[in-house]
Amino acid sequence: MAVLLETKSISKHFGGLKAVNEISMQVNEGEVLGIIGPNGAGKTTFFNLITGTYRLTEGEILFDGQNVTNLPPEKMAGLGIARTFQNIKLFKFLSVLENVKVGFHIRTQSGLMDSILHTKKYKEDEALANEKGMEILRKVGLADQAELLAGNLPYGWQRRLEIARALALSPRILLLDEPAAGMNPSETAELMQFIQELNRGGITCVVIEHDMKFIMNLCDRIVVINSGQKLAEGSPVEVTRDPKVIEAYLGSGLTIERRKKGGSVV
Amino acid sequence: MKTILKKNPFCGFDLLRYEGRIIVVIMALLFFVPLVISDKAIVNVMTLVLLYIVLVSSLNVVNGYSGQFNVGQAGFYCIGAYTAAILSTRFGWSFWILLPVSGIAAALVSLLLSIPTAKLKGMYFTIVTLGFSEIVRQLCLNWTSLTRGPRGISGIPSPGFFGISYSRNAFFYYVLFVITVVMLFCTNRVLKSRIGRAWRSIREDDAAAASLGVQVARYKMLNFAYSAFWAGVAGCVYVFFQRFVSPDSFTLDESFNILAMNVIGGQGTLLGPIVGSITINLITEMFRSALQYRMLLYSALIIIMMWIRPQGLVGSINRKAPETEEKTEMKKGGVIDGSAS
Repeated sequence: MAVLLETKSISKHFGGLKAVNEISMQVNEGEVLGIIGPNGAGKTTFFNLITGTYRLTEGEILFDGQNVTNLPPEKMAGLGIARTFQNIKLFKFLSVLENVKVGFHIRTQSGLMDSILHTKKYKEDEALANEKGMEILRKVGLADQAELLAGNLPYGWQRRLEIARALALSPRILLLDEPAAGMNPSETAELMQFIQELNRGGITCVVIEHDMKFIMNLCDRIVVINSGQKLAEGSPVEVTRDPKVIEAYLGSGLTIERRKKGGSVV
Repeated sequence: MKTILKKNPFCGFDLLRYEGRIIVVIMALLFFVPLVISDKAIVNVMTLVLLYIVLVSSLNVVNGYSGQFNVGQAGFYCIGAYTAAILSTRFGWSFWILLPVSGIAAALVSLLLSIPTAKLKGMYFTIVTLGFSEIVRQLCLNWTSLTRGPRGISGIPSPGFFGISYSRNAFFYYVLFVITVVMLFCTNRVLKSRIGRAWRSIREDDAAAASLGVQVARYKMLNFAYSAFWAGVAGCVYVFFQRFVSPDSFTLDESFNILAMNVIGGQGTLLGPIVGSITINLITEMFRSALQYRMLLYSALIIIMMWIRPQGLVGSINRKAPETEEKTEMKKGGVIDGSAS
């Protein structure tokens, strides 16, 4: 499998805090990679680094063999790196369809004069954005809500809309930051199916998530991050058996002590 | 779930569904003002109303649609005015050429100003525009060789219109009327286009906009320049209308006046600036007899408005996400009940 995205010991320091510290990893083309780790481990910062939102303190990022270190986020989006956000960042006062249409910004070119005069180029651009936008909305099941303001959607649907918006970029890699947060089990199952479908359609996915069942069932490979460093990497089974991972999640002392006393470990 | 959402599709946005039609009606009524009313003083006031519609709408492009807070619109207004005054008195350029030229001059200055401000957000941007507006005025006040300083520039020729004679007031009224219509038409189209979507996406969340490929700094610059262009055009008309220009017309008071009309009328809608300009201008004219208490009344009005209707008379932004009751409940519960589809 070809490597699509590679980070070479990338770091991000905020003053003395090493939010991300020399993480090297690879994302293979066509896989679903999970990133897990305790709260504050640096997972979201890691996403912000590979999408260009933050500048690296040091290290290198390669996308499809190309050096993309410290490119601005809009360039990263142009390359086909799409993302969603942990705290949903929809355009609340834009309609559902308009939210998706913003995703076609790069693929359309019409300028100020085109817009004022409604030239052929403008009409083609709008037709493309409308048509493809509705197609995506149908895919995520939000076609009936196209004219609603995005901020009026219920929470679970907002998450879906955020993914829909990212899909408008026709991404090669999709970074999902806690997509299942706040969802009930049936919605989570639906989401998992949806991500698998996207993956079969050729989109490489990287997922940050706390829901272990979700991650274990969905991902081909998992990377564990703790205190800004990569702790472990491997298949779901390998990772769950890794003593370092267990320690990071449950702590060391308490579990052992309790076992000795014969108490139950929760 | 679906029914609740559909029942309440735009939570308090009902008025805006008819926005286009309301604007057409208002503009149609405004068209007849000089034909029906012969009192020159009233036509004069209505001319100013139109001038302010252009100015406030131009500010609204920045404050209402790209989410920045510009408090120095008088700066661009001033640049347009002085460009027109200087070029017409010194080089005899005609009014019709100066209309676009003044706009472009203001837009160019805004691009220069964008170099430091495009990356600024919130308060920092506001402070820069505040300073800028004052710098422009001071420049006009002190660069006496070019602007004749505090004495101002007088003797601005009246514009000819293919040799046809006209009653002066009605002429400017209709010039401004056409400019207002053209501006509203263009702005409406731009806002609905890819560019307008980019502006509004920046207003809602610039990080998300950038993640979707919107060049945030570039589109803020375009937004700022578009706004400055129309303020510059308004400046040009003002100069030919008054046939005199001095730095006194472009104080911070003027900036805040434009801002207040926008805030009271409503930001983020095309209708807001129109309503704001009409209301404020007419109210301040009506209370002209109250002399210095007029401004007191004006301030009181602003405070009351902010208290009872912070989004303005017909604004879209009240800076709070629209929320259905159900959604609030769900947020509290943290989970959505039942499968969603």
